[in-house]
Amino acid sequence: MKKSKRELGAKRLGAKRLGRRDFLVKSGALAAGAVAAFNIRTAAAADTVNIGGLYPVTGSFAQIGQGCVNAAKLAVQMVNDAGGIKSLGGAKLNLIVSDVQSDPTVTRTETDRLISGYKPAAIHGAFASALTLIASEVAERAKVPLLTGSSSDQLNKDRHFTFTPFSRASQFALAQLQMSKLVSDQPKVAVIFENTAFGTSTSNGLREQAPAQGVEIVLFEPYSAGLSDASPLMNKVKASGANMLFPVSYLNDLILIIRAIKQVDLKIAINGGSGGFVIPDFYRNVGNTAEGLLGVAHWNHDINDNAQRVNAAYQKQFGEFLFEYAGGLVAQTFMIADALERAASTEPQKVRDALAALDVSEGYAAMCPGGKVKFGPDGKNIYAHPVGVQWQHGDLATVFPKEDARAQLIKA
Amino acid sequence: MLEVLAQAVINGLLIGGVYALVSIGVTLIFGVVKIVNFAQGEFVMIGMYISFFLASSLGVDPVLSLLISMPTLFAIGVLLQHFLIRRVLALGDMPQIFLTFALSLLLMNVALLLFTANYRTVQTAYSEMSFHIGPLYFAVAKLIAFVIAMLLSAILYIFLHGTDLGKAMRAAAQNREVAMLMGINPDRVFSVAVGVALALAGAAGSLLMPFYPAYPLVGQVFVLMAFVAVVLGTLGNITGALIASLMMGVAESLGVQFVGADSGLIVVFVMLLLTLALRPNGLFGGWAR
Amino acid sequence: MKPALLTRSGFWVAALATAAVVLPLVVSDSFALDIFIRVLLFAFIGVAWNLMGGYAKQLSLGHAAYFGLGAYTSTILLIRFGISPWIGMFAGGVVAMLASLPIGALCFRLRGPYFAIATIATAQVLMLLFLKFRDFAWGAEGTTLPNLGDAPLMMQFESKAAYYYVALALLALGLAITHRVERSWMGFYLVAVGEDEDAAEAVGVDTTKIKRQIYLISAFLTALGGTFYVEYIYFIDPNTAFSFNVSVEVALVSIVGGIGTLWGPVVGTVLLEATSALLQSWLGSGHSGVQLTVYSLILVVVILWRPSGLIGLFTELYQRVTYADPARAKEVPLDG
Repeated sequence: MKKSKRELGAKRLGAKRLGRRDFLVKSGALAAGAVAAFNIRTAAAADTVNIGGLYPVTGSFAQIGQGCVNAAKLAVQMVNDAGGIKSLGGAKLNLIVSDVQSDPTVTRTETDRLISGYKPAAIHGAFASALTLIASEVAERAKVPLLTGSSSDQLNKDRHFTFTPFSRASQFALAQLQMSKLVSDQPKVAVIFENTAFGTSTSNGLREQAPAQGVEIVLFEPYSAGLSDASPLMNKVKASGANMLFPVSYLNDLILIIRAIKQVDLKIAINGGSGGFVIPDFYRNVGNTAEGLLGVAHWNHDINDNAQRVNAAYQKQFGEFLFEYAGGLVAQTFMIADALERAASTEPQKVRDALAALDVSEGYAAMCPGGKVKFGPDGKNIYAHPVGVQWQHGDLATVFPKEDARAQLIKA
Repeated sequence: MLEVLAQAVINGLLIGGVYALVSIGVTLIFGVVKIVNFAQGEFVMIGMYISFFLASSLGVDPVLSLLISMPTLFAIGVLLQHFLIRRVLALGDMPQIFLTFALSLLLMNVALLLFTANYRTVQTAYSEMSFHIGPLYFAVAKLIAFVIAMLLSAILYIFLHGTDLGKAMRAAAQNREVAMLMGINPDRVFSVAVGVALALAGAAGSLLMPFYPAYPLVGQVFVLMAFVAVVLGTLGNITGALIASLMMGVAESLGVQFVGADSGLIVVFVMLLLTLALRPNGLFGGWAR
Repeated sequence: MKPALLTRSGFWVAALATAAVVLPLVVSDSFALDIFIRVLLFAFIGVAWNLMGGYAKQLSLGHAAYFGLGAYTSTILLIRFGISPWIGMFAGGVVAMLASLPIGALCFRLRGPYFAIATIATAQVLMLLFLKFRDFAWGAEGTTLPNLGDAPLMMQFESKAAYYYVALALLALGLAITHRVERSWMGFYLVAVGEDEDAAEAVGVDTTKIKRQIYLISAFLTALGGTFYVEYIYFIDPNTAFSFNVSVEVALVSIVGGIGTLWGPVVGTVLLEATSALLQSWLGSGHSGVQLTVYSLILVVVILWRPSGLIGLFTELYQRVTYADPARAKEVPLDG
């Protein structure tokens, strides 16, 4: 039997109303559950101290990021094995690692999450300068101290919570220029650099300081990272008459550049700077061609006995030598431990003040070129300077300056 | 000066050969199936990894591994057409664009999961060798890549003009409905087209291995150039893609030499935009000669 | 006519809006708020994209161009001239609108994949240009924003919730504009152009003018999003501002959610970001590529199975849940 329109309509309306309420209740419950899940926090247990590590474990910097995390864990283990923080009753360090995915937004949210969720006493990271700058901004506003090996000079401007124990971009440039004079009396340098933050900051340092060092820059060429072919660039370098090449590049381009140099039969000395040049992967990919190539680093595994010791432990566990950034952050972990010891507190402000007063010349906290760490008012270590390194027999040896050299510079 | 110029042209031509292999694949798919394959670069990447693993575990020379990477990618292409592309053919622009686009993302990230971001290189005896004629240098590995790329292009040309299947493909490209009326099975033709295009991408990958590192995102480096060449050479025109690729290689090389190494990319994009603005049908117009 | 609030959809919108406004008062976890902010922001830009890409089917893969222009304009005004980002945001929108004119003039002549490629190229060119402009735009190194502490007039807030509300306001703006456009003459023309541009031309629609107009709106809104983003992450550089990933994501959320619908981009963003957050908490760190793999799988599945977006699915599901008799989940004619 046909129902009247009104009857049908009324029934549908009724069904709807009931259904809507039902739906609301169900979805409300779901939402409440989700909200509750979000509000879970994890603060440190009474006898541990949280410290944070921000590194790009995934994304384009993944190789280096993974090595850094390995080193960070090793460092914390070393601190804890030595008794932890005695002034806090032997409290052990608890490392929280956050993957910044080589991405700026993720860095922003992860730094926030790390700080607000785990309340670390201090944090370190993040390898790439752009990412570190963001992390530093967040840390400043949250008033949590950040230690970093990143070289961007911007990290020392207008900040109170960022500490840089190692050399700055401008210092790297100076070292490279000085090293060029060891190889040739009349250094004519070609500088090619990838045109984003890393390349631009380093190359600017080179350009500014070259005249004062008596080094002539005959080619100053930015290029877009991710070369399909390095030959045109090398062609240009050859045409410039340079006898030294400073490439400021990431690993994939370095591989192409080094190979292209051989292909166009270019006889030229190379100083590859730091970054992708001073990691084990470089040698793995380029092979023998890497022998004799020069670079600079803010840390190397042969600068003193402590460094050698950490390197041996790292090599045993991970099968390759401890590279620049990773070794540096081991020292940073010990600096944090030292600060915690003196502050006898896990409050970030007190740890920050203890770091500002840091003055060490022995132990793992002082494991850097020159063997001394003391921070100036801008967060810079007043004793920081880079070292020149050279690939020798598949390993990286420190060859410059004389005070830090552990091996002879092999001339081509 | 002249020698610098000549060397720049040589460098450009040699790498242009590799661009050609990638762009011919894109243009072939577009000509026959009328879809832009945004994932072409990722198939180059797959070709590279195939060669890498064959080289590192079995010691097979990457160039020889062509014989394996090409058929493998052909098979992948046929499967791709049959299971995925066929479904979106009737759906319109948006699904077609985003399908291959999503595929590109998927392949890159699966590679990242499986192989990590590490660079894989293969050292062959000739990886860093070059021979010279007077003051000009020819990198052996790149020369081999160029020669084989030209050879494969020639074989493709003969296939398209000399065999029945090839002519069927050209017919389907020109007018799908009439071709069907003539008894040509479009599905079969499309499968072959995609298969061949991917095989060419695989060849490009194998040929790159002696002098280029493999990593999950490597496809993106070449696909850009390839796309500009495809547009310049007119979508669907194989000879056009070949010539345009060589031109792009030379333009890039000359750009680096005389304008600036970071302007190369801007030049490429401006060329692309100008072409799209002034001659949207590319420089050559029409389907393959 | 019934007042909007009493209709079925009006009720839902009101409920949703209330929930959204109340949310930060209930959830105080910083990370959760970050997720919500990201959802709101990308839903907003997705809505902006959808106006062009969804309704008019002009599939732009270069919207980052406007995102970046907005971001840079407000940052330059802030750091070089001390002008508040609230004004800078508006200025950025204007700059984006101006840019959309020549870009549109160039690109609108192209169809389908050509158009997409051209838009990708324009965003890339802008990125490359800004990488070179060291003198007035900090070049490749980018810059961080000066730390102004708690300065609401300069769009810097101490509390995360404030950023949330700004993003929410932006999304509301985008939705309101889309709603208006949908119901106006322009909306009809847009859909006509999207369905079949040639036919629309034949019937007398000035397709070029329509496309240009919607592009202006879309670019303006996207630029607002760009300004907000910079203020939120305290940092800008060409790679971040003109990122291809941004271009992709704004298109993706609309396609997955519901291309050419009002709520589609919101649905898409919620789905994708929820997936992303879940993945991150299950797998933690150390799994390169999982997130994007899942995103792209979702995209492939959506394209093959529901090319019009998942919002249709949700509407159907809702109807099934609310009707006691599932057989009546579909509309039945009222007369027997």
